[in-house]
Amino acid sequence: MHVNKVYVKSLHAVTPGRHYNKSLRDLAAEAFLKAWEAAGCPNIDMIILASAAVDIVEEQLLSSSYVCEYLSLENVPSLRIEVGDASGTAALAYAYNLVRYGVCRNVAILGVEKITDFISVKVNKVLSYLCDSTYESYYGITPAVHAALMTKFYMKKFNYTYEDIAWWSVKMHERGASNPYASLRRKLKIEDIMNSEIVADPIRLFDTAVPVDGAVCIILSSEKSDLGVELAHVEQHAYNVSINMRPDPARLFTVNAAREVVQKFSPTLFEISDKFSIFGILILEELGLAEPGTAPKLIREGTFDPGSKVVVNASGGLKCIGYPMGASGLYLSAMLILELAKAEPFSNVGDHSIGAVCDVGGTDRLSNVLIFRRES
Amino acid sequence: MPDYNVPVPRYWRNIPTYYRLTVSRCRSCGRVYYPPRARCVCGSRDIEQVSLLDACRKFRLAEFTVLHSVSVDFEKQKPLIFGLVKCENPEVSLVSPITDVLNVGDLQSGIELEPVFRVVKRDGSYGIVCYGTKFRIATREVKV
Ligand SMILES: [Zn+2]
Repeated sequence: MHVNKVYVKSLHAVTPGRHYNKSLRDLAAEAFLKAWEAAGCPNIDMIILASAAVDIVEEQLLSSSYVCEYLSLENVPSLRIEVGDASGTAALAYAYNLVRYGVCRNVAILGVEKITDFISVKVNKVLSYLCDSTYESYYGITPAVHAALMTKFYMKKFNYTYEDIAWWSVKMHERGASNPYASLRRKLKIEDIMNSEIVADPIRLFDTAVPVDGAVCIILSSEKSDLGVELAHVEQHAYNVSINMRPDPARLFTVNAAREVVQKFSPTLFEISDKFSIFGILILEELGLAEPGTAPKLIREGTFDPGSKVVVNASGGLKCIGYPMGASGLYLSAMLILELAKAEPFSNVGDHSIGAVCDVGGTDRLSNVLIFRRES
Repeated sequence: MPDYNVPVPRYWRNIPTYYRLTVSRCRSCGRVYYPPRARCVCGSRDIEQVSLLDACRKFRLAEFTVLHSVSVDFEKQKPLIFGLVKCENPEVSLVSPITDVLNVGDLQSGIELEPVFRVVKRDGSYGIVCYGTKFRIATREVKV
């Protein structure tokens, strides 16, 4: 059977943050139009909107259609994909197959989130919907509760202190301070992390990724582009099991399942979801980049710094980008593509031809690993 | 329009889980699930609902966290404490609210807990009062 290669035609990422003066449609339009114009305004066969909370925040169903109307794409079919905070990479995976199998020539994947219209306690309620609504959110459980338990189990298992975990954030902010796509562009000292407000003990504010508005558009195509980056493989794994039912709460089983494909492609550049520091640490270990129990030490020693053999989160990760929920994985993907293409501000990252994005939905309920390759 | 979020039929349907902590037990292989399931991993659909309050005599705290950044319904109760609670027979764990903690230092891994029936939240000015099962340090473990 003939399959197409799938290329990144173009992309645009709006710097995430608190965009009080812009609506979700404004943000979506900005991301789409800039990406589309950069691609030379090709015919778009399908728009895939990736958003975790658009219906809750905007009180809007059929959101992809209304975004298309705003863009005067009057006859372009659209749909929305929602698998929580992994919506963006799930949309990329879906679009990959549409292009690969010739259903579409050009697909625009548009990740949008407009969460800061809500006050923080309301944002926490929306985040809690990532947990089981009837059995967890009802009692006030949020993803931070899961991450706190994971962190405590991990610390106990490998005899780490909170400070060892907190270094993840220091290293991320080192990288993100010069990233124009970061919502938080500031170097932070270990004391800043350790003295930030407690979210869920032992997790503090800077161990989380702060919910922000964002919009990012990636156009996938069967035709080559000047970017010279191909989406070479997508890998999706699931473990639809609540945290209390897991044999080990301090594991990311869905990420571990992608280990073989990572070995096969040997990427040297990674953008991984560090929505909580423990996720970044565990992804490194589950993917085999670090032996179990060594990631906090290696990250602190600079093993994965820009310029190293294997570079992780040259963008500063979600610690610096922020957490535009369903668009998070698309931001990580956009960063990785720019890094592979050696575009600014990532010229210091080094010469890498294969990179991977690892995105996790909820508390390891699903994960998407995307392999991008720069054409030689 | 009165402000409320919890639909009464949904609350009513969930009373067994909120008041009696029901879990699913597979009659075929004995596996126990929380949240409940319609089908066991063994393939069986012969599932019974069992109340942990009836079935289980021993609950232990495996790990816990104190949540300060709460969601809107819990602003007046913050901070909230949640624990991974292990039930010994039937063997199942749950993440549950821990209450009546006078001193967080009293919470240690392995300590015995007991279930209590408590208000969980009040649903706005016009909604219902929501109840549920929380855990507290077992009376015999409390040092006076
Ligand atoms: Zn069974």
